[in-house]
Amino acid sequence: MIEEGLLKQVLIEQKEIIKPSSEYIERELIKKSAAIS
Amino acid sequence: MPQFHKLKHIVVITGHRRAGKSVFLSQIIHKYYGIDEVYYLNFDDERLVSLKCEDMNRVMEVFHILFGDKKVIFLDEIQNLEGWERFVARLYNQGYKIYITGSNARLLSSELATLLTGRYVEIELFPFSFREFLIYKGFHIDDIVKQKTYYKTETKAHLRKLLDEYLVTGGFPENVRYKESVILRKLFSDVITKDVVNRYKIKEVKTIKEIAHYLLSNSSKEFSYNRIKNIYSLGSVHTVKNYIEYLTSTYMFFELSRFSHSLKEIQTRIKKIYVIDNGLIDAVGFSSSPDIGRLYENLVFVELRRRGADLYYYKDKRGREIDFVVRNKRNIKEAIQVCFDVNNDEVLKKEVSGLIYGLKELGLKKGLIITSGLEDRKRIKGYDIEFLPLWKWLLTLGEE
Repeated sequence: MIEEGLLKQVLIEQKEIIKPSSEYIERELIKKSAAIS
Repeated sequence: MPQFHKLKHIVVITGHRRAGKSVFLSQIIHKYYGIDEVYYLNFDDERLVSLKCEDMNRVMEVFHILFGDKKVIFLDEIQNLEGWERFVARLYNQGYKIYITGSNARLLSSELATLLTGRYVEIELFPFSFREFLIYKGFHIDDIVKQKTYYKTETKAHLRKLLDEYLVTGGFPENVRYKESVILRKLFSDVITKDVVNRYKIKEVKTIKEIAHYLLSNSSKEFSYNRIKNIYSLGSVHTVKNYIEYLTSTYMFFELSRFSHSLKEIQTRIKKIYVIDNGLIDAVGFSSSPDIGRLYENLVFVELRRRGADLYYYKDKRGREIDFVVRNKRNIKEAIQVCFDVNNDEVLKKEVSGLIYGLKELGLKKGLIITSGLEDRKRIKGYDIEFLPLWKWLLTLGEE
């Protein structure tokens, strides 16, 4: 198991990284026919 | 963007590495929730490699300590957590709204995934389509389609120029932006190392890399397990089948079966191979110069796959072929030929002839030939044949 201090650091860093993208494109999403399985 | 956030279902986003899944998650977070309203965890972080399913209770505790009580969680590249299905099912039962991403096409096919049956919505994310590529390039395609200005000479010329670029660059967002083949070579190497060699504990690392190169260099062509076995001196066809299964699970490759009414024949007959993105073929394949005809065919395959088609190729006993036939339940509803070299009369004649023989066998009355520029409708031997330029077909302007 990862050491708690490092885990906290990873979670904080990852939250920082997931910032809004400036290159916003509304993606064409394909929902599979059996999507709601 | 579809209103997935309103469903209580788990939203599962699958697709090739670097196709934009994490950016898409980020967009969902910021559009519907706000960063302070959610938990986010990316399992691709190398510091988290030792995480096990039983550690996840502690991870959730740390989330609570750091960020307080939240009810929405985003789990990126979840295939790296063995037994993730149990953890996700538990969160679902606790009332969490869950978004997950994975780079594995068989993400939801394990026995454990039955724990989630009826509880998820699956979305496949591909690299940029041509329409998305145009938007990224600042081309106002929606306005142009609405106003039908694509018939103007300069607009059409611009579109065709951008198609030539897309044909070789492909649609991986990073490569569209930087156009550096090193990006795609690194991506190829990452997929083989992380998603194949490490995940399936492959010892023959050099061999599986060479097979992946072989497939990239032979996209849009038939391939045989036996031939690959002989080229790479592998012990059995079974090993080759396993290797191809691992490679296709990464979304980098797709096998295309030859159509038959018999399931056994579909499974045992020789298949064709296609690649998720033309940029990879150009950057990593062995060919010194791009084979535009094959790139056209690969692009059409990926677009049909993106549109969710149940696809096959058709070939009769004399070798006459239709590149793609689309099945609806038991029957074929659409036949599509791809012909780049329409100015070569002999090539065009061969493609038309193959299509017509196939239409007759399959009981269809019409067929489509996707071309580099020719646009026409002809009645040939009692069949309606439509010729449509690739750019128009990609933008679904065929009915205009």
